[in-house]
Amino acid sequence: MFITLFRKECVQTAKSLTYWLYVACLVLFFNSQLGNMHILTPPQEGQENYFDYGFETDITEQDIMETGAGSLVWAYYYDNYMTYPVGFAKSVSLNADEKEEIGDIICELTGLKPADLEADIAAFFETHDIQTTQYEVKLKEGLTYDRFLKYMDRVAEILGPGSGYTEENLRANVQIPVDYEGAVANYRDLTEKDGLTGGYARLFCDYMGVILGILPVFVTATRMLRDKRSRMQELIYARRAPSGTVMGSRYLALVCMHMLPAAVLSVIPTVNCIRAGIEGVNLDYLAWLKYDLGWLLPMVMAVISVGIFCTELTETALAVLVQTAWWFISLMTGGTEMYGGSYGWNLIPRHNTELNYAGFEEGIRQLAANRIFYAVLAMVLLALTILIYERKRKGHLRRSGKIFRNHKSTDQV
Amino acid sequence: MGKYLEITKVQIKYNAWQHFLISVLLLAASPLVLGISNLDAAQTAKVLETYVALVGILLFVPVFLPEQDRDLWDVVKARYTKITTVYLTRILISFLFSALLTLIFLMVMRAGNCEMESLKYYFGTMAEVIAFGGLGIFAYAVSDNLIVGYMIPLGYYVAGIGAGYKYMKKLYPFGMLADYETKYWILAAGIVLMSCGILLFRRRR
Amino acid sequence: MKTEIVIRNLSKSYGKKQALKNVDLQIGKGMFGLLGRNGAGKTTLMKVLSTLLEKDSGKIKVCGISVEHASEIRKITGYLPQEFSMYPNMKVYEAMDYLGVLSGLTKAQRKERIPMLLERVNLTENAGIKVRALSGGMKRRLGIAQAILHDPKVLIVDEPTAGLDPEERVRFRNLLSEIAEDRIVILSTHIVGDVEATCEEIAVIDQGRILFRGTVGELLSLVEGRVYRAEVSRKELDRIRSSYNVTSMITLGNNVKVRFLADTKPFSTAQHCDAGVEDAYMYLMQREGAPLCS
Repeated sequence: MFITLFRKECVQTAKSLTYWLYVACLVLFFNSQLGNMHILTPPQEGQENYFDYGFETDITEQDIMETGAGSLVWAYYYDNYMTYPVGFAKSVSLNADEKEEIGDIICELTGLKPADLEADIAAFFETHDIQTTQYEVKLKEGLTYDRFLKYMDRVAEILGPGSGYTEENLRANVQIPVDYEGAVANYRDLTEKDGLTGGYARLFCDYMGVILGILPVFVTATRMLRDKRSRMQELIYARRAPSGTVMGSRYLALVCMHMLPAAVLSVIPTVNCIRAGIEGVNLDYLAWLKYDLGWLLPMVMAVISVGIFCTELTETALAVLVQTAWWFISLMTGGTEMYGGSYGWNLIPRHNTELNYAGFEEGIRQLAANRIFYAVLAMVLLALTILIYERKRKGHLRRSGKIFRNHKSTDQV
Repeated sequence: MGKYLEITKVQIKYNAWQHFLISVLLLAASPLVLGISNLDAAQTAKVLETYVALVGILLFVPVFLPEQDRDLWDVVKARYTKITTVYLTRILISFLFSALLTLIFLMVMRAGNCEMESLKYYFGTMAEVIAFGGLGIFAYAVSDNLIVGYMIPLGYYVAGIGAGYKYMKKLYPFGMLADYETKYWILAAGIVLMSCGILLFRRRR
Repeated sequence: MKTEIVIRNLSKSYGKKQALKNVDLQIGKGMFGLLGRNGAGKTTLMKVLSTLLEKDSGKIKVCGISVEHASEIRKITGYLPQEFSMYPNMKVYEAMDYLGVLSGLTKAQRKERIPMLLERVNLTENAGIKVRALSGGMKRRLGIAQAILHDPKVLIVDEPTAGLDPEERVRFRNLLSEIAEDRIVILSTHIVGDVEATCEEIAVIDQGRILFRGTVGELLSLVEGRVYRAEVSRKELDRIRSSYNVTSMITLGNNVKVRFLADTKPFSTAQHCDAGVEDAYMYLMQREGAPLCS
């Protein structure tokens, strides 16, 4: 029964308008972001620049300290502290005491008094281009990294969530373009450790995640509301099929149908890598599959489970609202970690480069935990949905029964 | 006149209040996620265009929802009040409510020392609200599906962020500073789509 | 396993409103009519029987299976709700096939039974059209076909004739009678004609209580020999209404044709006539108070 139902659900999904809108969005988005993907070729010595080859992977503590302190001095001097709690700029106003405390911290870090700052900034930009360079400040002799972090912790505390002064953000803030040696090292990581295709599969996941974090909810909500709209609920309730089979087959069909076009698209970057014919590359032909299953699948599962759960519970479009909010927040918070490596618990992890394998390697445990968490969450929501469905089949939790209909003109949202 | 009052009353009591509430909550929650004080002109525009204008989707898309149930639709249609009048009244309610919410939000931002040209920003935001709403109403009418009604304007929103002014030209939704003329374009598009949506929905049943 | 439904002391309420009060019923093979006005509790009773509502108290056994075992009950019952439809973009055959899968039928069984049932409800020619294009009567017939798809022992049909034209109604009753040859068919209605024509056994339900349970003949015997008809002026009508149980009226110009109940011939122009089910039903409905029998 399960397999037959699953097949029938797939056919139903394939006949729905929303599904084809989903596919169209996916293809359009892929085309606009990855349509003319160019596969990175090995760096040549004496190239004009190495912008395409990422950033230095081994950032020293000194780099972090100088950039971090510079950014703090800058904010203090202009009295303009920006935080990004969920991606939107939030300007934080400090009171006199807090300002004084920041001034003291700057003095501890650099030895500069508030009155000296203007001269130091001016001096720095006499020798550096103001458009392209971040302001860096000379640190006090003998300042240890631990002490520095302690001061920065205090600053982060004063400014509140989303400030640039946590260790993670301080590190992410330092992006030093590579020179030839660095470019070669980064490229070697890509071709040897990542099998070339791995890097591009990851980039694919990064982009597609942005829309797979929301689109499936539309198809799902439409499917779930269909029973009610076509007044088919009771015909199904009264049949012998167990609730787990009805909902389980539906869920599985939705997941598979959503993954299918994404999986097809994910082959394209791999084909591009093969066709690029770069010498000395240890190609990983199945990287796309690994990343589809490991990165995108848990996300799609989670989004669809939110869709079935909210819709079955309320029989409204609530799922769209909930998922849009979640997606929005995920996307905005993820915006500060675009270069990959720090995936956290974000539904939509970012790794907006085919490079930075080192960062990936560092964050893979966290990423795995993250993905497993969402897969489990999806299963829990599915179980709850089955439970709700079972209750409704026995006449509980129903809002649109005959009893209520006589009294209310409508009860939909 | 009494007729319109009655439509208004019924609409708010049975249908619209949930959407009103969600819009208010969306705006009330804004200080948690973004700053609404001491912003410069560009940041103010960003907040209005990418956040406040979302109430357009919330408030306008569900105007056909009460008639989703076919039986109910027959009843409403059989009444002597024209169904178009009912829809126009509901759209007017949504419009007034979104105008009010946006106005309040704008005033709060002004009081919070945000830099803006009030009238220009207000008109610009409302133009976007109507563009989102019109697109949603139209998508709902074409597909006869509420979910699609939400999906299409959200897609437009995402396209605006992703593609930018360069690709969307006069239909760019966030053109407050880049090109204010876009506001007249999207306002006109919104009104046209809304009208087409009503005509379509009336005919398809 | 005996084909029989036994209900003992069944109660069900929605919040404060008690929809069923201590209902006792025994239903055997054949057509069983459940008669009552709108809101009497018919739908509630039928939903409890088909496991779509949980009872508050009492015992129900359907063919020996207790109603708590929902999945077992669902195997042997078919249900046609009062308001239903199917996915409008599915073809008639597809919709049947989908529901057949949910009933646990194998592919071979579906291939055999669906064409047979569509034939039986006279929809063979419409198998390829979409559900949304069906007329009200066709939809009802499709409803019956889906309810007996898995060959249930019990078929529960809620207000099946509502919205059908007179001709369709007759055909529909006949269809149900055929189906009832080898199983229990429970039919609820507020239209007396429906049960009069087809049901051997009936129950009259009002405000959640069973007012009468027996055969049509037994129902008739409640008013047998006491039904009179007369043509009276409108003025006289009020007097008759205050003294007798009026079971029907037809206005003819200034006069009114009335049927009413009286123990002896009440006045000279009144004519004695044969009792109809409608007379008995109206009698039961108007005689508020204790049930006559259960």
